[in-house]
Formats: sequence, C-alpha cells, structure tokens
Amino acid sequence: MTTQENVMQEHLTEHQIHQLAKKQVPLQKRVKHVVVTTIIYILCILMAIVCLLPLWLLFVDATRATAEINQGMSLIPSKYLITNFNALIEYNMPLVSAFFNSVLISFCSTALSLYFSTLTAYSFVAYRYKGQKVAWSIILILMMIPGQLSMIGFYKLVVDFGMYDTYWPFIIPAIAGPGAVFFFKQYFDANFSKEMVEAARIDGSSEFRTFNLVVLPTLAPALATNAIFGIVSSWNNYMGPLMLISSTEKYTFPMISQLIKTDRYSTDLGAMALAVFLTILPLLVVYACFSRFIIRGVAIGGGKE
Amino acid sequence: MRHDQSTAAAGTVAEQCAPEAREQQPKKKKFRWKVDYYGILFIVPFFVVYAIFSLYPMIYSVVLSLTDYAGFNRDIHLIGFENFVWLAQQARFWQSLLNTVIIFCMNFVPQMLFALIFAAMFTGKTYKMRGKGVFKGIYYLPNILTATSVAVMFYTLFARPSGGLWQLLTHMGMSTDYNLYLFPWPSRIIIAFIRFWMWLGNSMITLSAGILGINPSVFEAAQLDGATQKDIFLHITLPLIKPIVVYSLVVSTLGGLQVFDIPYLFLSGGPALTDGRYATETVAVYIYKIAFDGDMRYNVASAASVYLFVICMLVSFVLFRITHSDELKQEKRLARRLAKRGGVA
Repeated sequence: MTTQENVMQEHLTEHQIHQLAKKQVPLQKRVKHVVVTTIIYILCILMAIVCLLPLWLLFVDATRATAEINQGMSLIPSKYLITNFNALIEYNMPLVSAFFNSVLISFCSTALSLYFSTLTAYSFVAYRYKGQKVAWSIILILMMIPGQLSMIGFYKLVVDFGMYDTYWPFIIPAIAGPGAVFFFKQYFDANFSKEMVEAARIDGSSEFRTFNLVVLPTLAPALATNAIFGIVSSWNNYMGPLMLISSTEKYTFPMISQLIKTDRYSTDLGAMALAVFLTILPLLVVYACFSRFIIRGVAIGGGKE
Repeated sequence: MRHDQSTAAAGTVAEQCAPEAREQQPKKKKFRWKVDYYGILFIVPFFVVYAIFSLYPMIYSVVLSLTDYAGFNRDIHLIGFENFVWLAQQARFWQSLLNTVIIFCMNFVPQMLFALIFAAMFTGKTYKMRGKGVFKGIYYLPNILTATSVAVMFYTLFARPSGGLWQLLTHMGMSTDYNLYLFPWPSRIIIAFIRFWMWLGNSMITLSAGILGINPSVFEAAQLDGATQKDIFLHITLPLIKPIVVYSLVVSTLGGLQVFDIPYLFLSGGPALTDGRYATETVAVYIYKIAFDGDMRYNVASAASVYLFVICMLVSFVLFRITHSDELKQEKRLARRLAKRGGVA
C-alpha cells in the first residue's frame, strides 16, 4: 500500500512539474521545439522514402509493359501484371521449383542448426568434464574465422564426396554453427535451471529425453529468434549454390536472379521486374509477419553481417 | 529456512526414488561419469561436422595454395610460395583489394553517420517522437532481402534508359546520354549505395540498443549540471557507445572484405570498358572468377583466399587492439577525474 501511494505521489508531482515547466517555457523555445520536431519527422520520412522507393518502383515496373517502362518512370501501377506473369510462365522460369528447393534447404538446415547448437550449448551449462573450457574457447575462436578461406577447399571436398549438385553441402554443415552455439550459451547462462534437469534425472529420465522433452521446450523464445535469422540467412545464401549446383531444376531461389539477368529475359523488362519482385516477395511476407520479432533480435545482437 | 527444508525434502525423495543419485550427492563437484559422459557426447556432433566441413576445407585450401593444381591437372606437386609471389605481382589482384577498400569506405562512413543521427533522434529524450517502431521497421526491411535480388533490382533501376532511378537522376539534371554502368566511379558508388541501403537499418538498431543500454542516471546527472543536448550527445553518448561502434566496425569490415553477391551480380566485376574492366571487382569476386569462371586456377584462388584471411585477421586484431588500449586509457582518465572530484567535495 505505502509503496503504491508513493508511486502515485511521485507521479502526481512529476505531472505537476511538467505542467509548471510548460507554463514557464518561453514562446521562443516552444517554437524551436516544434521546428526541430518537424525537421526530425521530415528527415525520418525522407529516409523511409529512400528505403521504400526502389521496392515500389520495382513493383510498379512489374505491373507495366516494356513499352511503358521505356517511356519513363511512374509511381502508379499499370495493368499488365497478369500479362507479365503469363510471360514468365512462357519463359519456363523455374520459380516454383526454386522456391520449394529453397524452402527445403532453409528449413532442414535451420532445424539441424537449432537442434545441434542447443545441444552443444547445453553440454556447456549442464555438465562438467575435462576439456570443457578448452572446447568453449575453441568455439569462440571459430566464431572469428571468416568463411572465405575454406571456399576452394570446400568445393573440392564436396566434389570428392560426390555431393556436387546435391543439397547436402548446405544442410549438414549447419550442425556446426559457432555463432548459434554462442547465442544459445548466452541464453542458457541467463535462463538455465539446473534444478529442473536434476528433477528430471531423479524421475529416471535419460539425458537425451531430458534434453528433448524438458530443456528444449523452455528455449522456445530463443529458438524462434534464431530460427528466423537462420532461415533468412540460409535462404539468402548465393555463393554456395552458385558454386555447387549445376542443374537448373535444382536451382535455389537467389539463383533465379542470375537467370533473370541473362539475355533471354532482359528484353521483356516488365516480366524481368516481376521476376525480381517475386524473388523478394516471400521475404516481404515473412517480414510483415515477424518484423517486431526480427528487430528485437537485431537489438540483442542476433543479426550478423 | 524454508529453502533449507525444501532441499532436504527433495533429498529424501531423491534417496527413495533413485539410489544412484544418493551415491552421487556427496561428491558433487567431481566428474560423474554416468552423467557427464553425455556432456562430451553432446558436443561431438558439432566438432566432428566442423572438422569435416570447415576445418578440413580450410587446411585443404592452404595446402592447395602451395601446389600447381589448376584445371583438370591430376598430377599435383608442391611448388612452395610461387602462387603467392605471382599474385603479389598481379595488378588485377591489388586492384581488387583496392576496390574492396574503396567500396567499403564509401559504404561504411555514411552508413555509420546516418545510423548515429537516426539512433540519436530515436533515443532522444527532449524530442519525443511517435511512430518509431514503424520507421525502424521500414529502415531494417532492406537488410533481410536477398542480396542477389537487390543487386538485380538496382541494376534494372539504374539502367539506361528504362530504369526508374536513372530517369529520376535525369530529372535532377543528369545528361540523358550518361550510362552509369560505363564508368568506374558511378558503378562503385551504386554498389556502395546498395550496401548502405541494405545495412543502414541494422547499424541504426544496434546503435539505438547501445544508447538505450546506457544507464539513464548518467544523462540525468549531466542534465542537472546544465549540459545541453548537443554536449550530452558528443561527450557522453558517443564515448559510451564507442565499443558498439567499434564492434560494428569490425563486423562490417569483415563483411565488407568478403563482399561477393552484389558486385558479382551487379556488373560481374566491372564496367565492360578496358580502363574500367575490373573497377568493381572485389577480392571475393576475383577469387570466385579465377577459380570457377573459366580459368579453374584453384591454386591461385586458394592463395588469394589465404591473403584475404590474413588481412581479415590482421584488421580485426588491430581494431580490437586499438579500442582495447583506448578503453584502458579512458578508464584511467575517468578514475582520475572521479578522484579529483572526490577530493574537491
């Protein structure tokens, strides 16, 4: 009760101070306040336009005929969306198969990444064994190593293993992602309850069962954050498939962009714009659903270059 | 008291249910083979897969860089550092390094500047603004889009004469004969702009989070002492978020040194003119092209990637070193100042 009253009082006085301050602020300052606020809003809106204008222009172009596009830019959509779409179908653009290929790869790799990263991180908080600290420092060092070095060696390895032109090279390595392990270790450090695991152990649950059925569900928020970033980064991977996929029916979604730039399509500008727009559409939809989640994830350090 | 009772109760339950658990309890800190064995088991997949799919390729790359392995050559010999020497004599390799640095600087400096300005506006106390969430959402959006799609999108938008942005530029006074893709600098600027466009939101959110993480009492104290909003930003906010700025710098530098998707798909390394032929070719594009587009010179490409690796490690080491010494200095300065103030009071 008393604390509540205190809070109330503080609130009141703060409010009163605010009101008093408002009365005492000279007109000049208030004008300045309004001017600065307006400038801030204008700047913000300008930047928002810079961010959205290219996407909007692309969408508008996707609805226009090639002749219209050549005439000049426009901000108003035209009516050739369906014509362009039919043209794409006629060109046999492998949009649908590429979409499902990318879905397959990104979901499998993210699922593996989530399970094994949490398992690895769990091993560092739930157990004590020799070499644990060394293993952890190794993971920290691995996080710093840029991936470019292994490119040629990875290509050779994939060819030697007979995994060229398959999806395995994009799925299996997801098991060993140092960044994800680090992320989950951080989460465990803040939220891990040893008592829960002990209780499960006493109830006779095996270690694997404990992890799968007791520990994993408690990680849901962290899993969701990491899953979004995992799916998006796997989805956007271009260099790997470019290097290791050769047959068109196995193309992933980002590789469509490369097809679009080839001569066959570049004369039909409307269809080309539509194809580019379709390659970003799934991400726009995902972003519309999860943007709050994603931004919070970036703020806590989930986004990486 | 209550806590003690509950643990005691748990202990008795444990004794009743699992005789093994009772045995383990006295020697809690020691290695419990039956249980902790799983800990090792759980990290095995990570290290095995890492060893096969990352460590082995890395070593393989380093070894390849010392051989004459190129094309369909099956008969491979160790030839020492010949590839490294050869690369160091290649103007195109140095050009690609220079391009990478130029594009990175043109992208990073404005990106950080704008990110700071917007982060300051979004976290400012005097000028409260509405719709922050919407603006943040809009600014971050380009970051999740596929880089290849973005590259092709800007390629079509800046193309002469059909691109919307090219037409916008001509409305602003650019000659209608001007094809941006024929000249080195416009092409570089567009690539830097694409990266700026994609990464601004990310930097802004990271910096905002950093500013929001500063203890508010610091700002209150400064305000009580009569500091203006500008002073607070320059002398309190900036020094305090410096670690985050440096972290962004390191991450962006590593990312910038390895940039591939956008320059590769944008002009595939450069305007087609002879004098600007490699003007937008970054190191990663150079490595890829020399290995997979035609030549199949895996040995030289590996050597280039070893160079790139060494440069990356050096850069991040130096950056961390500089900031670390800076932090130490700052701490000392702060301690001295506090001591002085304490003496006066």
